[in-house]
Amino acid sequence: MRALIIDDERLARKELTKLLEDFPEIEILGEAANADEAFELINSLNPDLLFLDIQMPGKTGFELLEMLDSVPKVIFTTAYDEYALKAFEVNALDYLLKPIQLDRLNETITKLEPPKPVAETETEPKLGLHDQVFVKDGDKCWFVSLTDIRYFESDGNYIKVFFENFKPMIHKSLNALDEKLNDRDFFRASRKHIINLSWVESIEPWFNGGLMVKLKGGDKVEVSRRQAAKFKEKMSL
Amino acid sequence: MPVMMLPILTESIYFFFITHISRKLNKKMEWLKRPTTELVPKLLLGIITLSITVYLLRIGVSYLLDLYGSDMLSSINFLGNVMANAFVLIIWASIYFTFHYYEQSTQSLKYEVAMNEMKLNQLKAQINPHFIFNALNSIRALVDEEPSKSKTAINHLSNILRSSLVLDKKKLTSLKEELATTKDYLALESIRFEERLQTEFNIDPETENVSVPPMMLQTLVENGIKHGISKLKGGGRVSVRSRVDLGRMILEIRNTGQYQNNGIKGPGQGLRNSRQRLELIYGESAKLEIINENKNTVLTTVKIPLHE
Repeated sequence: MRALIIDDERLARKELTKLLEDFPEIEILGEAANADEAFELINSLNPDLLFLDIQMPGKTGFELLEMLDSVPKVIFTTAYDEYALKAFEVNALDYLLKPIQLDRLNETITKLEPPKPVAETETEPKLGLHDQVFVKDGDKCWFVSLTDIRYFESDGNYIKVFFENFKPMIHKSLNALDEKLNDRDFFRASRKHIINLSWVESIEPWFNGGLMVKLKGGDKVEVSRRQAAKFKEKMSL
Repeated sequence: MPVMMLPILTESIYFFFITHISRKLNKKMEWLKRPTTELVPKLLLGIITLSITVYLLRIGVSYLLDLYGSDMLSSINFLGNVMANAFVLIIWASIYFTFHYYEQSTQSLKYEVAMNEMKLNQLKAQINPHFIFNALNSIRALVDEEPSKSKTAINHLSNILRSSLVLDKKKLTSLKEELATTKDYLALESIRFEERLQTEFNIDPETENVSVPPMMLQTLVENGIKHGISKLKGGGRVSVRSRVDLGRMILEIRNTGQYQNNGIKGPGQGLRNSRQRLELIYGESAKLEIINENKNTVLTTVKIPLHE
């Protein structure tokens, strides 16, 4: 597993590198001392795993994750940060408290699933169902697998992300998001919506030659007339 | 002799009962808590009533003991008796009320002191756990890299922990001791921040023995690092300067950064606590101010009287 260490303190990075010597399955690709450095490295090296400090000069660890389109696996490393850890009560995610203990590190690394085949991500740079995104809305944070997202709805300069019982907002345009998502799994239903095709339950004809798509769980999304033709073409054999 | 003693004994019994009853009444009606303007007329009325009661009792008892003489009912005798009784009761009442007022006021003073003490304890600066664990993490890395430096670092950390434990019990400490703690703190932060943190001290020897609230300078310096330097990629400088001016010690803490007083939340907890501590200890005569001295320097000034 190819990993990056992101921490503003040289000694903290050094200590973690040393601890990771015992884990040959983790290959350290590089280190970054702040979010901007990390952003460059992540885009050029495409790591599977980040060891990420939360408090850093410039941008915080959370802000770094918000900048990324697709988020690798993340293990937070922090000294003591009730606030930051509380943010993650909503979904299980691993974090290590500094000073990091070997046993605890071992546990965390064992829990990590093997990375998905590299070939897939290289031939398909767009985001598919197996990718995860980081969403932060106010004080709450989620790592959401795209499989779980039923649909996206644009709302001014923001997009509402619908999954489980949540609908946090991310600051992005629907057009930009549409370009990032692969079109096998996601469909631009209208100017307002992108739906996850794997959640589609039934389709009904609607006014003006449009369609009404019913998603598993009961949400209904209208497909505009212009997109309906594309949709039919896509969904038929 | 027994005949001579009898009037004294009966008189004592009257006054014993009378004062006992009025004490009960006082308590029940909470006269002590009433304003004097309301209390004095009521008290006078009470005393006159009681004086007459004593007079009537005396006549009744005399009659029973066969000591009754018709001159006892004369108006001169009545007035004289009542006035004498009233005189005794006034003395009794003044002793009684003076004593209780005194007790009440010392009690409320004691209460106030205890409350202040409690508030002060709550406000005492606690060592930030984030700092301790970060320091331990850096020390752990130093054990491999520079063992001797890691030993010094452990000393700094134990000094800080000791000061914070000992000082928990103290209201004031000398600036000299407080500076030592602050220097220990900065030495540890320098290990973490490396070249990103520079420090400077400029202390007037005259101020070294001035009493200051323990861990306050350390908190203010820590604030400067937490909100200023740690947020800057290139780091910055913290400087502490002390001098005497017009009977007060002026402590100036400068740090790289910008102070943002956001209107909704107001100043952070560290500043708020320090301000309240100063007020509880020195009242109006101490001050804490924080301003942006220029585009990249925050200046925190503490003014403390040289003698408490």
